[in-house]
Amino acid sequence: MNKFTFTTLIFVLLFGEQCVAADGSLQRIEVYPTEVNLLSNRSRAQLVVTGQFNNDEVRDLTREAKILSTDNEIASVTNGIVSPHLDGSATLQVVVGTQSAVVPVTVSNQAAPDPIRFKHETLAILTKQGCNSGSCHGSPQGKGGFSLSLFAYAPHLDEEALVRDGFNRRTSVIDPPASLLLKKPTLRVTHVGGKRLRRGELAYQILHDWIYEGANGDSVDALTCTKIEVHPGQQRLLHKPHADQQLSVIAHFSDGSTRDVTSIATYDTSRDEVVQVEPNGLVRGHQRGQAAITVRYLEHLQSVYFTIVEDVEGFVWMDPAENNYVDQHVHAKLRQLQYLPSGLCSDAAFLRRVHLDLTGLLPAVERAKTFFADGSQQKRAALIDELLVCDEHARFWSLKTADLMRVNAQKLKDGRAELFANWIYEACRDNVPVDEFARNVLLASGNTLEHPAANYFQAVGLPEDLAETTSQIFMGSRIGCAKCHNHPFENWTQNDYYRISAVFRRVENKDNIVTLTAMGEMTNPSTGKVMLPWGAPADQVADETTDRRIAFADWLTDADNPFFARVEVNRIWSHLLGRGIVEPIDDFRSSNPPSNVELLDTLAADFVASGYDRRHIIRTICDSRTYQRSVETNAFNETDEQLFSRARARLLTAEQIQDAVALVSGALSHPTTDDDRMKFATQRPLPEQTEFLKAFGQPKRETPCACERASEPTLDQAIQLLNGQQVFAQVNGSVSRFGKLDDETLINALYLAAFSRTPTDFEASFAQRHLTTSDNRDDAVRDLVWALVNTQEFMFQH
Amino acid sequence: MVRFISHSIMFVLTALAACQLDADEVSFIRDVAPILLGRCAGCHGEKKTEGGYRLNTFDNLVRPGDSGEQSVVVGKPGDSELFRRVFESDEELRMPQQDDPLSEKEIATIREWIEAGAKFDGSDREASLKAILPPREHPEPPETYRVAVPVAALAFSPDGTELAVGGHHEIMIWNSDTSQLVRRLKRLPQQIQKLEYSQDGSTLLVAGGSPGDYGELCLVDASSGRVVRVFGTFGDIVLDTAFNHDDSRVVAGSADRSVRVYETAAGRLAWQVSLHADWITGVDFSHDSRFVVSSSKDLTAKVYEADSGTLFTTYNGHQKQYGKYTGRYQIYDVVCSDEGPQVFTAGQGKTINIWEPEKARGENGTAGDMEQRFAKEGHTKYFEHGYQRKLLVLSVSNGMVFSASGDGVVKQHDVEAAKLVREYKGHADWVFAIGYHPARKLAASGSFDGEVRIWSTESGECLHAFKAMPK
Repeated sequence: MNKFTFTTLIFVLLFGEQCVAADGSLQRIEVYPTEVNLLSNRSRAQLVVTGQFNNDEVRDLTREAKILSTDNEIASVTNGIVSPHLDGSATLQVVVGTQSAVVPVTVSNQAAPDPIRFKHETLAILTKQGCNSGSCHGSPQGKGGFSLSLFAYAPHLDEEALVRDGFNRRTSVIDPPASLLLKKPTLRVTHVGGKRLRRGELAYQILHDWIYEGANGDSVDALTCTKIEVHPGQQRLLHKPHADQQLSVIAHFSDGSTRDVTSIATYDTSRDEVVQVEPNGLVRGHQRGQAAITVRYLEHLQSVYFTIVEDVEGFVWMDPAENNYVDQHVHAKLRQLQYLPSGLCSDAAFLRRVHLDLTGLLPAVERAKTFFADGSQQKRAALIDELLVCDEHARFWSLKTADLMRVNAQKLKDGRAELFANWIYEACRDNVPVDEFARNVLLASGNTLEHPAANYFQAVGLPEDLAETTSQIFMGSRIGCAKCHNHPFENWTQNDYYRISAVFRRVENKDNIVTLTAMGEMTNPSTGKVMLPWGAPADQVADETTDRRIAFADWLTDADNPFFARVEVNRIWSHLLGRGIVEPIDDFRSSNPPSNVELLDTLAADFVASGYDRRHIIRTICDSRTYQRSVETNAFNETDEQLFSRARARLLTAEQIQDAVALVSGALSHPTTDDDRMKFATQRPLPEQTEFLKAFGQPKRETPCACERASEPTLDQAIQLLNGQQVFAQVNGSVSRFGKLDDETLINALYLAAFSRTPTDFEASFAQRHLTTSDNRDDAVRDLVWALVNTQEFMFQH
Repeated sequence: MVRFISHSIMFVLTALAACQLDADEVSFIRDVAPILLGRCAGCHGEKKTEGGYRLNTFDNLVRPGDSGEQSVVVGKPGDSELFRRVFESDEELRMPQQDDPLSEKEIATIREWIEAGAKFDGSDREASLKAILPPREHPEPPETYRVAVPVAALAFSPDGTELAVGGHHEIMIWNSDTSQLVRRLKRLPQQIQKLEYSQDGSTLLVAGGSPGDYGELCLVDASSGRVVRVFGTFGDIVLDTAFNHDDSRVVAGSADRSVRVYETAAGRLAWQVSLHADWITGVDFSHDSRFVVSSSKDLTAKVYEADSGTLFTTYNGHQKQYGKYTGRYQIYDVVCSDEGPQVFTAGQGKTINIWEPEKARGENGTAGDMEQRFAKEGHTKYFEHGYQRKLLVLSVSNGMVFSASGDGVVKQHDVEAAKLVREYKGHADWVFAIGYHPARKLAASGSFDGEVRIWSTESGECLHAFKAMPK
């Protein structure tokens, strides 16, 4: 380490000059937008000046640039914002160092009035100042008797609340500053929500002027905003110390016009320790990492993914070996953000890890011995292949699927749960392509005692529940918010919600028989309009005989579907690595970006190309060095939580821990027949619900959320393992498995069974001393078993 | 530079202070408290206590905040944190934070008051400053209106020749036959919510204020506009008021949730209660002045003994789950019949409810059996009004009930016959005010867009329609 630091020092001393040069020299500058049209006297335009450096670095130079207008009478520039004055044209000269650019400006309609637009300005400002957020006046009951629609989804209700309601309490057109709407947020009158507005600010001015002009709502033929355009686009990489970026947000309207809304859009960050954003759209990078800045303008949302790179002292990329594309993409991200991956885990750790992940069970002692004895370079890959085709694998992974499908015996009575669970198991066993599996479920119908998959419609009710469940399971999208209003954090609208519901509107469950009716439409309760089913072409509505679910399933399982493949590979990844590339794994949205976009995209593309072969993806991931990394950290990855530079230790699942205790204590031995297998919780797609399993997070299978399986450690878990009846009985019985063995064999066997490794010398002698000094050897054996199952090494997968 | 400016301000202030020493001494209640309440109480008041300091009462005002600094040191403004923080030149430290500084005149007032001994000239050091403040001085209304203001109150004079209409800081008196503006009664509260003539026509009872901030109930000379008496000020706007049967008492209800009764001649507060959980939207005396009734956004109407303010009963007929007209509705107005025991209430929901205090009391039992008792006793009469929006105002006289709503329609029902007599259509906006003059067969209505319409109740014809604004 000392040597390493010394080398760095020498390098800096010798090449100091070049280092400065390597900082990059400015090659050229670009200005966005390339031309400015100011169409009214209130129009403004935010300029963004971007510098390209010869070391490929891109920097925002908006605040450094000198910007001069050829005619300040027509248009002038202050702090990068262009303001109009008189009709005409001018040119802006933008200069940074030796580089320059020109931007033509056209100014028109300066004499024409340009009243404040209610929805597009007044309500945008109330959103920006936080007035209509869910914790303030946007909550369903409002606050202090004043209620607004959440993020302005219902402008007509807001107009009423702001102007006429409460006996015209909040706006005074004849004397705007006397309006309660201005007095409260400026604290001229006590406001529980605190100071939200300052006189002299743009936000205050807009509200003031809107009131002055009559506090009018929008006319019926008012323009609608069709989309927003955010510069610099979807992503940006910034190098500290130049980690600031001015955003520009331009709204497009139904008449084809555009308007800069940078100053009235709302900004949020997904990780404020990484990047923060000021109300004027200036993003400031704080430390290396990745975060999404979400730009909201009324119902339009767009996210920009920021990657902040910072030189870490002493970091040198070592070009670690790569087994496949998984490693390539993970390494590219690690290199960019300057983390070094951990080394590979030991054979013992790998053996235990891969067995638990692929089969749910600890490896058998004999399998451990043969694996350790195997000298082949390919033995890890061979083990993965071996496990992928064993029955235990199919059983354990069908358990995960059955969790999501809500296969529970309370809801699916008279053997339906068992039938559905077994059907899911067979699909896993036969490695049915995942797209086919989804279609089989979504298109199922018939008697639920004869058609197992139709139980999906038995377990999940009503068209709305089906829409929400299907979206969460197969699209990783939590659309529930959109039932009552447009989704606050995503582009899902209320129409979308009812369009997806419409897909299932004609599914009927009468006397446990799922059929399709010929009638029934879904309407959006806010508008009363009949909704076209999602995925259906427009001309299909008239056709009463077509199963509307077909068009939806076609859309869902299409190779280009943005959700289906990504959601599934992300689930697989999370099962294997302990954390999704998108996390939470069923909350895909633009404001919750993947930690490695390329990795997720490549896995998804590979999944589609393989014919939705889940086993292929599992194999690919397990084969990677990323999967096989040690949990040990190094000086350059201690702080990494999301880039997969090391393995994550995690608690065994409820079923895994129950089976592990049974195996180590000898209460059960590794299964060889189907009957044997059914004795293991991990091997039954429909495990019983017990206190023990519940304590370790077994889900009740009442929701489609992956979060229903709890993973947090609890006191109840400790009590179950230390004192619980189930563990006590099995530890008691362990004497019959180990009692007859001699000390050394016993200790070895015990360590291999519990940890898949041989004991260290210290552990062996310590255990031996306990056995030999004890009055009652049987009790001593029990002590050892009890002690081992209560170690973190046992309870955790690592 | 900053120091120089500070010095020059000091100089100016000292000079100002010197000039004013001869004038009347600064009064805390009259001069200082309004500044503090207007600019500081948002953060240091009843609801918020930033920095552990609040000046909602005089006792609290002189108590140090979390910093421990003495807030007022008698005779020494420079040692008084209260003065230092508003006089501060560093914007980070200056109060009010993130806001315009106090004006030089305001700062000088505070300085002078401290220098002169920081005396408290109020009655009660523990009383809310807001409550002991004198009535506000109201500004002149604009000479002409840039836009019309919503008409929230109007009233016919007893002889029916004049129509008083609430304006911005004023009442406009219009000739009801010619619809010409006769005179303006100026310097009144910002928003006028209710007007009622005394029986002799000499005075007008006026309720109003600034929403969320201030309420006032006053008596104004109907000819000269002189304010005869301010009965009291309120913590929020006063939404309704009424005389009793012989004008000897007045009742007012405010968005600050209080109902108050005053003696008209003496101006004395007879009683005050705050039993509702939300704004008081309407108040009235029963025809015989035995009861006072109040309606509220809290879905109930309450009846009090008019003499004492003791609660007589609560009417729950707008939040019933049984019967034909179920729901949970806010009530926006209450009026009493001028000849019998009937009370009329309405607001959200589809009906005007007509009920009697004595019978309503019989319907009330324990919380558990109230629904059943109401359903069983159920003597409430319902007029299904058929408005597209919520009903905002009621007026009852001579067996007729007038009502108006957010859909711009005014309706007249015959109470005895229980049927709709007539609909008056023409307003293009929410109607907030109605007046009725039975002898002259005139009705008047005023809407949010500032329009006043005078109707013939005989023919239903609209006789006049005009924007109530001085031109």
